[in-house]
Amino acid sequence: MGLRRSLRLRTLVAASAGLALASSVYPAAVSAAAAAGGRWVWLAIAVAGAFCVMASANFAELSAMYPTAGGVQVYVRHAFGERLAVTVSLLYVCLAWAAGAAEAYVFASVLERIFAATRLPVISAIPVEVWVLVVISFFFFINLRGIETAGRTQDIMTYVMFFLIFALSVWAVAVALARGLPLGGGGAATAAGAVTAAGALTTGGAGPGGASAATASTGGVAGFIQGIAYSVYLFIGFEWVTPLAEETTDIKVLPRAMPIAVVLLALSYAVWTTVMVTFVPVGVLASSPTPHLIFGEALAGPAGLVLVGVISALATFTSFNAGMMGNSRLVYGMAREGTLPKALSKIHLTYFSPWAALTFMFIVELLLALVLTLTRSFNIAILMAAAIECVIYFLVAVVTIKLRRTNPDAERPYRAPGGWVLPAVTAVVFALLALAVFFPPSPLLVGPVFALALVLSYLYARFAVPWIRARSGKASVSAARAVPKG
Amino acid sequence: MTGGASVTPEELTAILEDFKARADGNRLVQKMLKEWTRNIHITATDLSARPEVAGEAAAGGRTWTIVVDNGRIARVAPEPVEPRDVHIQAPAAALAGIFRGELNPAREFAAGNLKFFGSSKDEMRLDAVIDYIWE
Repeated sequence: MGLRRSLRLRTLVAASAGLALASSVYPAAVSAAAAAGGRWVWLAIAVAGAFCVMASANFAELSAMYPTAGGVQVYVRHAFGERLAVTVSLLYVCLAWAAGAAEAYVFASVLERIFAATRLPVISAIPVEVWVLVVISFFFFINLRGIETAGRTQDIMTYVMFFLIFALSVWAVAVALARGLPLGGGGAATAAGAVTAAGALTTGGAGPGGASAATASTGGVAGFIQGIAYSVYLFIGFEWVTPLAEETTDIKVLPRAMPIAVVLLALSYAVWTTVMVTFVPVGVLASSPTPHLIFGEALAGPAGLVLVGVISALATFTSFNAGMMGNSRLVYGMAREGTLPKALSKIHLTYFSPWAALTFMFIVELLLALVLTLTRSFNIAILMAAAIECVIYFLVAVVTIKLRRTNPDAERPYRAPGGWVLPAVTAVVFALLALAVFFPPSPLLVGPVFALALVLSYLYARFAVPWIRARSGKASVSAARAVPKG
Repeated sequence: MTGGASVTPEELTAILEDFKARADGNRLVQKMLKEWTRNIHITATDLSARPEVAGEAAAGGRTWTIVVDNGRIARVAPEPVEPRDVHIQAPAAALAGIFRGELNPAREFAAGNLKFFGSSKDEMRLDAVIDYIWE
């Protein structure tokens, strides 16, 4: 019996890493390589991973203090009140839209390339816009039907992905050494890879860093810092496991699970990205939304393309499905508690899925993905998501500090090590990384779009939420008027 | 959270019985409960568990069970009924407010005052039942 405390370390690591393992991380990783320089991208990813491990300690302390499925918004509410908590929740929704739209676009591009390469009749002629519609609709309908990936299935898929990524990376390193290619050198694309990349230039857009074949490998200290900032995108979602705190077998499992997941992600991304830029020039990869496919084809021809496509599909399935489910529930929860319009809290009476919230997320993500497809600017969505995540990590570090001051005697089953140093350093680092995302070679639009999202979220929390609450308050008072008091 | 007025076990029993009666008389709720069989434990974390009641101490406080049997609420038992499918934990005043339709369960949940253990589908269904009863 017992629904309580059933989640073990293995499942929590898979849940934490599963959301972060997505198809859209590959163009983000290539952007990091373009900014930091191919030979140093592994270090940029490792440093970003180390910062995320520090951030995870703050999340662990707060989730142990408040082991509730409310997650970040509960921590922020305790430290700074409801207005900021609502603002953060809305930023999470924006992050979900940005990352979801980018993921849909990248995965649609993956399908388009694989079908084009395999030359399947009819299917290979379908344009990427249609694949975007198909991909988002598919995940919308399985979520609408309330189909969930069972915990064990999610575990298996995540660990299979890690195994495939590591195995392919090790094989690629062996091939590179055998061919005498300098690791991270990126100047030795095979003929097949070069041809594919040339094709990609006409169908894809510039990578998140805005790099093109001509401008890749920014390098230098500034480029390296920017490479770290871009690498934060690779870990997005590791902290979404904190709402599961109350279901863990031991409150101290979560503080171990998040760093393990981040280290596994950092290792796999660092090695994978290094071998990608070993086989194909950074500039060629950065010009495509599917650099991992270019690498797969350069490494092993059509078989490599299909194998990497399968890894990509698994990654999209686990991250997109869990993301759409989690975010529709977030929107539903916000509508139920009166911070979003009540109409978004409607539930499907057969499948018991939040159909109104799902439909809302579906429509916005579809529109965003189509905009990305038409403008080829999925880079802005990826960088927006990275910037929002940096701001949230910054805020969680500040919340940790604030609650230690205002609530020093509260029970803390886990405490982030290093006293004030760790949360303070985390806050400073992620504030700087958020700023780094806004500077060139990032597209100029990233800063204004982020500022718009932040200001609108705050104004909504400041003015719209009290109005919605006042209306729902009147309704609930009239509904409860005739209720016996026990 | 809840205004802090203390709620006795007897009052909470009466509130849960009233909730059952309202669910029984609501056709939409009957449709939502269709083919559902669950033992829903409701634990008031600030009311002492009774040592003589098996499983109550482990539940974390005084516990009731809403027994849903094949689409209808069969009874409200003033003790834990096994097997437990769903578990809701909150202070007694919060539970009273939620089942009287005075408090928003989602807001209590977001504030960390209410804990829910169970599948997300069961969470949705139960939340919808409470919402429709008081809509």
